[in-house]
Amino acid sequence: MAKMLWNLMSCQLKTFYREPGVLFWVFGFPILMAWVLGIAFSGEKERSRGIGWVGDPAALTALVAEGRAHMDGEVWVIEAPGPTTEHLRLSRLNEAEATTWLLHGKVDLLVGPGEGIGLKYRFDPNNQEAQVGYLLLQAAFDAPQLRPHQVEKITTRGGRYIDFLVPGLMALGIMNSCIWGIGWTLIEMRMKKLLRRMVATPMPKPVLLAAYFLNRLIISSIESAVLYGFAWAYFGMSLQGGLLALFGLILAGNFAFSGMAVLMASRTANTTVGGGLVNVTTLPMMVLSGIFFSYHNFPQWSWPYLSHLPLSLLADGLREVIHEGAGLADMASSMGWLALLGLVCYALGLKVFKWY
Amino acid sequence: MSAPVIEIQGVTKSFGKTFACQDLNLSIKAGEYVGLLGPNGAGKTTLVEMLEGVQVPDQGEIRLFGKTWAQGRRELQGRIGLSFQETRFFDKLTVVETLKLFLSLYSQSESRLDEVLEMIRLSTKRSTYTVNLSGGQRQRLALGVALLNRPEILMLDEPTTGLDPNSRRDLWEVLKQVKGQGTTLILTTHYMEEAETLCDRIVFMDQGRFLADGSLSELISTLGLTEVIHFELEAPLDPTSLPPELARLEIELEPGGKRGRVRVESVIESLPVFLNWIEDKGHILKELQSRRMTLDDLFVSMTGRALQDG
Repeated sequence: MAKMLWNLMSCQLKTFYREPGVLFWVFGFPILMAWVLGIAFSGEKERSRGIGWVGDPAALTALVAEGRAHMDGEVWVIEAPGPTTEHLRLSRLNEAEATTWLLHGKVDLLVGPGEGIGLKYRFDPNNQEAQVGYLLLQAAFDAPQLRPHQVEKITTRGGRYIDFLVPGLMALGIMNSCIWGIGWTLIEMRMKKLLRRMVATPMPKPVLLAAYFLNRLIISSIESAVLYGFAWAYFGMSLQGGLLALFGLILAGNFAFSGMAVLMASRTANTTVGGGLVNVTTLPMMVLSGIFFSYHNFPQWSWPYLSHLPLSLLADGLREVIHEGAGLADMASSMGWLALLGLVCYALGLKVFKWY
Repeated sequence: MSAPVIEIQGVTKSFGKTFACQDLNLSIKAGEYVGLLGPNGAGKTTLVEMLEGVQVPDQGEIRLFGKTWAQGRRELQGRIGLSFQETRFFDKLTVVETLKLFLSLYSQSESRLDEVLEMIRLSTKRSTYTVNLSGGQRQRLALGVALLNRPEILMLDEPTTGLDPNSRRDLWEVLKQVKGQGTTLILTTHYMEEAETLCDRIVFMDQGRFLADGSLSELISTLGLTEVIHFELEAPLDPTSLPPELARLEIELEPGGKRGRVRVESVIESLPVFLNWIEDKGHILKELQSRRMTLDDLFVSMTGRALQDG
């Protein structure tokens, strides 16, 4: 019995470690994710929170004079008291900038001189990051004249967490729709020999890929429309920009992600490896591209890179069109990057694509 | 005499240092049913892949209807039909939806649909998802897809491998029906019975080369021995003590020397001699069978291995 048990376990173990893809997903990927999220949200050394200061900076200047804050370029850095070192980074903003930064997730809390004495805090009470920032700032500003304060809940459209979240979810839906709907399907068709059977007909190969692309464009457009419709009906979200810009972005996003899907599926022979590739492509972007939380939580040096990830380009673009009224011309750069990425991926993918 | 529809001239294909096909030459006329037989690794699938334009020969040339794949890919794709071992279709498409999809890929009208459904005997399954079809039904659907464009050449790569005997015979019936329409068939198979039942011409392949080519009767007559006696004794046999009447025949003994077979020209003439000799030597016979030679016997006599050996 023991030998039987041992042999069964031994065989299962062999099938496990002889599949490098599985090994990566079991051991490598959790470590990778823990590392990435650890950088974003924790760390023993220090943590930075983005806060916008609107109005006269006299209170901050006083803190600098007391040695409890310092300037880092244009930003004030306050060390908040507490068990861990929290670095509160305050950027001075005017009202217009404050709205934009809030929308983009660069800051989740606005603070400035209140009417009369004390400070005025503005944030979405549903945003926990903002809540923590508010409490830490209160502790940092312990001068008697600053203790009285008022809190203004941001519930106006455009500044709430849901306003940040919905465009991100629309972008995420487009990515998943393409990667799973095209990449995974192509791998599965190759495994079943269905791909080989189809290209043995007089059908031109680009027609097959075009069918998949158009199919995904239709499905993801409907998916985005349904999600937006729900947000409009339930949360009162409204489209500030043009429909053309919105559709242009969705089109460019679909093109980029369908190209990535074709490249990903170009040589993959089985769904075990395919599953790994899908996850390797989508999960890091899901974390790093500012879908559920802003990529401004990551170190500042990474922002220019993260903002150019395809999912970030699409999510940020959708936020600008939906909440800031951006038009087609404003989106030209994002759409251009996405189209270029799609083109490169399609070209590379088709060059090495294994049809049989 | 009709012109060949398939010409294979000096075709060689290797993968790394392994030769999958070496200097192959073959010519097939319209309407011929050709069985390509050989064990695993013989090079059958590589040859079929070159015939269907998936692989390109390193040397030599393959012409279908006088054209190479480079000269007329789209035209050739429209004139041939293909079916592989274990093709699976879109799980959640019905039989009819699958056939309609492929009809559109071949730019054929839907009037062909019912005809093919009838031919592959899946009319009652027309609204069934392909995932719910049995293995045999799925292979018949694959054959139906291959027949949609009324192919002049049909290439089937081990279409019945893994099927139960009834499903296999169902597929044979469809192929016999297609034969009447003048289609040329290239069939690769492990099953000698399949080739014997369906094919006018058998091509043996082993280690990338053609070993023999001809009709079943032609191939068997090349050995001059057409019947086989199988026996099993209680004690091992000493083959050197065979009587002169049997000594010139081929005797193959299995390890242990108790079981074996003798190839003879006529069982009626040779069996009494064999039985008398067994009796004289004091052997006790446990089992005795006689039958006509099969393709498998022929293959064994050429290579020393059975067709279904890996």
